[in-house]
Amino acid sequence: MFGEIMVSARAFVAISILLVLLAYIVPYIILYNINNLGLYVFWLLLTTVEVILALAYLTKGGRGWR
Amino acid sequence: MEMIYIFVLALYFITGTIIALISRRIGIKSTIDYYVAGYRLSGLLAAMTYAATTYSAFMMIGLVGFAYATGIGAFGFENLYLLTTTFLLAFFAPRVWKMARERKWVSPAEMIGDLYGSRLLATIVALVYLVALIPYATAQMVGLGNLLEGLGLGYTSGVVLGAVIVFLWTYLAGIWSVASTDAYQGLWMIVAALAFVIWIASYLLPLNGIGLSEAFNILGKEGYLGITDFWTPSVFLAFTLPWIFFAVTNPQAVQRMYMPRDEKALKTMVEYFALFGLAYTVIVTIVGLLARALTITGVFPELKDTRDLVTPTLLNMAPPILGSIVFVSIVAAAISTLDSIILTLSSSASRDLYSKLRVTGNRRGELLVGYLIIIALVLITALIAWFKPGFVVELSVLSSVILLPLAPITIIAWMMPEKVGNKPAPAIMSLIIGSIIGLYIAIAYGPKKAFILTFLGLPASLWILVVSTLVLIIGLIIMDKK
Repeated sequence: MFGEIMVSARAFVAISILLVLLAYIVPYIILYNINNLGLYVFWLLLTTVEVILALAYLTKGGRGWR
Repeated sequence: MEMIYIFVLALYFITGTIIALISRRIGIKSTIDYYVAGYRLSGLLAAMTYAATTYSAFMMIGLVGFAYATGIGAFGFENLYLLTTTFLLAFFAPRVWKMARERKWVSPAEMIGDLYGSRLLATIVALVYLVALIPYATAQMVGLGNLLEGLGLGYTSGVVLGAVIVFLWTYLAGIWSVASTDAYQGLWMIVAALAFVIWIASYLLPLNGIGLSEAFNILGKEGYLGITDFWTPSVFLAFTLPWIFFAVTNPQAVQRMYMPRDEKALKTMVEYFALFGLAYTVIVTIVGLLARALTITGVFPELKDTRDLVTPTLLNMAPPILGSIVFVSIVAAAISTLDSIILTLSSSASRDLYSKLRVTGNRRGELLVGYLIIIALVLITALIAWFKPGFVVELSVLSSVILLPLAPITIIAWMMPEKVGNKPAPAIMSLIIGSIIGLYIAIAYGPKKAFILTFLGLPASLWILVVSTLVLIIGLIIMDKK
């Protein structure tokens, strides 16, 4: 579905940790008082990016299998 | 109205049993076939059984109520589970999948014991699983009793029905019947949830003169789209921390990494599970938020203190056919979680506690013990659920916290199996200390309070994780130097 993009293990771990940290920090620093769907979309976007990244990492023959 | 509910429930049961019977054609010859599908599950089945197992009745009852009462933070909490699970699966599943084949793992306790080279550790891990997951399984059974009691069929009939379905669908073909009925139930869950939210957005809201965008405007004005008072940083951490490690601490989740038949099937499992999880989480939290908008506008009762009643109240307002389909989807979510836990606990008990059979290699004996343990576990959970002791249901809340000390010993073993081999002492110490802290806090403060209890501003779950990780790492370093 997401093609044959190769993602290195180090990049995958680093970006994933960054996404998790953003999911914890941004809502409490920036979006805590929001009155529209911005926070909802923000969290959703982080997970969507992680899913795309994970599938690229798992691409057959990619780094995920080494 | 009850007749429609009973008819749809009967339809669900009969169809599921036919599917379970058909799955028997696969033929079970060994415990590897029975518990991990002989490592040859298709990608779609693997994804659906992973999704249906991890998403329990909590979603349509607990999370809807949570989003209703505490706002969008509930979505953040559940969404973080999905984000981290997707990462953990993509990063670890390929190597776990490979090692499971090479080393013929069946139960996750056996896996940890094998990696650290200790049967004793496998036995302790199996006992921790039983302590943590029997209350969790019982809570699903209690939920089934409550659901059928709400329908006027009586609490006991719900427990009995749950026990019968779980026994049948587990016994018939082990993981083959569990996975195929999970696929059927997962499909039912997502379709019902989608129909439910469409009905609320396109019928219930307009009926009361509220548009969808107006509903979100109302929620925004009342602060439900931001961080509400409930979701302080420490509460958010306390709720998310045990769940972000669910994929590595819960045996029914770990065991599913062994099962896909090839690399493509494993990738499909991760892909479809993530898509299912994303869709289900969005739908369920939107239901809760829209119900809150209806309460703010005065057309839905205030249920903040009885948030688990939000979905049942909405079902009473829904057309009976939709209400019955959603109702059965909640039953399906409970059953699919329950039978997977029972099967996994059975694999652990027969492989890791009743170890004599593994030594003799008696395949028929192993299977027979597995069947007997399934019967025993179904009877135990049904009996406890029938007596409904409050502490068991409360303890179920803490299952993920009790399992948390398994996170460091599992992750470190997966990352460097060559470093931890034949060094079980630090892992045993880490697991025992972490579990004792969890149980002590549960007994001293009560499970519900223990969940959000903080020390020095940090939740108890974080302390358990930090202590068990430190004990493990320091122990491994000391053993390395010797």
